Amino acid sequence: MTTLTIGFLLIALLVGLVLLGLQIAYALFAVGFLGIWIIRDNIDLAFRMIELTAYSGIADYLFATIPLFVLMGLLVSVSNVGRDTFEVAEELLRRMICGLGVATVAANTIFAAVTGVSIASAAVFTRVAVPEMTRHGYRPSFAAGTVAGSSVLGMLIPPSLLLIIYGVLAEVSIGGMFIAGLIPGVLLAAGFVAMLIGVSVLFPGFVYTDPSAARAKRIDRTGPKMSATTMIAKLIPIVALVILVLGGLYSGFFTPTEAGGIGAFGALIIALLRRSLDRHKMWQVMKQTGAISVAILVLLIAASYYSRMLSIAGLPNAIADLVRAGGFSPLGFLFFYSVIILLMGMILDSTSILLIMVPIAAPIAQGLGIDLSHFGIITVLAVEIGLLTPPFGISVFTVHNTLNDPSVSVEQIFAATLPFIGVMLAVLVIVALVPTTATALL
Amino acid sequence: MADDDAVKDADGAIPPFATAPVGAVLGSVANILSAIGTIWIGLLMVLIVLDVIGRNFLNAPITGVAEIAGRSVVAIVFLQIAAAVMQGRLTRADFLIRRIQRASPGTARLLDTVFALIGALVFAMILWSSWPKMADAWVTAEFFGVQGVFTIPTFPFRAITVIGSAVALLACVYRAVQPARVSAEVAA
Repeated sequence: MTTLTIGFLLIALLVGLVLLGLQIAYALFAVGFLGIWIIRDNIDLAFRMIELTAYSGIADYLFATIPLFVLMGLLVSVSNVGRDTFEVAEELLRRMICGLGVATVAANTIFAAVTGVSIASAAVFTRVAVPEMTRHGYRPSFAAGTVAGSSVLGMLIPPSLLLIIYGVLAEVSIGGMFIAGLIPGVLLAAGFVAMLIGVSVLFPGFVYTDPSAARAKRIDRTGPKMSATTMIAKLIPIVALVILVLGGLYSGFFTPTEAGGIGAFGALIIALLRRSLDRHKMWQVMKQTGAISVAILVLLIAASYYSRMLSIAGLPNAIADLVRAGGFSPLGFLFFYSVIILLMGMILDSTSILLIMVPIAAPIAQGLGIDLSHFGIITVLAVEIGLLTPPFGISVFTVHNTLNDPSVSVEQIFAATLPFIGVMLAVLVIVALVPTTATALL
Repeated sequence: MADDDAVKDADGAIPPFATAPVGAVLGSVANILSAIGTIWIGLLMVLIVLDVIGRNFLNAPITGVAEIAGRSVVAIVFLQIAAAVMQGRLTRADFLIRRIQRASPGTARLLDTVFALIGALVFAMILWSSWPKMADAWVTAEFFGVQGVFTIPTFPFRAITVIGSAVALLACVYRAVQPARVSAEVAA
């Protein structure tokens, strides 16, 4: 049996174990160990490398970004910044067609610039936006679908955990990935807005429980008004945080790790000023930060062991040769790759997909002359669609659990996110065809 | 305030000592380690903020922040890993096992036991390979950093890796012999 065959069998074993429900970190470690042992016929080497990876695999300044950005995201989530942003957007956009839907997308876009976790956005906006939309005559399932759909912006608009993880795996600058995510993120938000308006005009029954009543409510101008000063006061904290973190990052004043530390500290100050933190809650936030970051960091250690095994087996190069010999054009490869990721997205969570696919696919993409930042945005977009597709659409489940409304079923929310998936696919195709969308600002 | 609260209580329930003495002790040890890791994340943030302020405004950067932060990440992971194992928080794809659970709870329990044992094996391998390095680090007083500028002994960091994987190994074994609880979580 050639090394290559063994390599492919090991990947098949990995996928099988993961599907069966083995913890992904264990699966990556176990398969990595088997691989190094069998291919090199040297169990000592396998042990030496596991020690090396456990101790030094993620001992890098860069990895400190993960707990710091998670902490920042959780702190802004508890300090009502999301609610304020939504209220201002609602006030400004109420009279638009599907105004509250657009307000949800707008607030999510801004909120995405201070958090890197889609699930945090989904939980916050379910509590804030869904009741408000229902009160204004929107279908609860449509409102929930809008929140789930627009929450994926959190992973594309920097700072984003997925972009950090991709950057680490593909050895691309994380600051560069953050810049590459900007235009596609804005494109996605604009696509969502256009889609919401289009759907409301063409299929009002899909959006509203009672279209004519909702229309009357929209045109009604007697409601209480929010003064400009209140609006500014509500927006100052989030705007300050966005400027501090993204400004510092893009101007090159901060490294990504420093931006994370300063951002978390800024979010802490906002939370303290708003008195949304007592000692108990602070401890809960910190513990939650630890729980989320460690789950990701353990996966990263395991994945770095697995990719060492892959390179020992020479798999990335061998597959790259196969792809070249098969006469794949770069676009053909991107198409094939996106389809695989979309399929994986139906059963796996985003981080795990990146961990399994990027070490194999990034060298191939590079060999085909695809820019790695561009490739990363395509990867993250395709992975993000998985957050919305059944049966493992984690954003949809988060919204459903947070909403806890028996009249709205998971299936209804999945149906309501379909138009969002359509927009994401369209943006995916645009980004794939026009690399400058990702690389223009680099 | 509770409206905007995306944070849930992450406390894993520790079984009472009277009914499950092993689980109670193991759970408490794991939680203490995890709490140290949690505090460490806060300290990491403070360290980075102080470095940024010191470097940009006081012209007094803190030496070695990058190296210390890198080492801290590893320490935080190994401090918290045992609690994550104990509370079943490691990432997994559960869509198939949930269906197996519904069709045949016995099969799902068996699978969970096997998975916990694979986890035990993984932590045993890390423990086995890291132990001699920890001993070496103690004997040779190994350090990291730049000699003459700042040096930090590696022994505590290597010890954290060893202790963390040892407790995680025990947690895996504990879960392997306590499979009913595991399956209940998957079903929930």
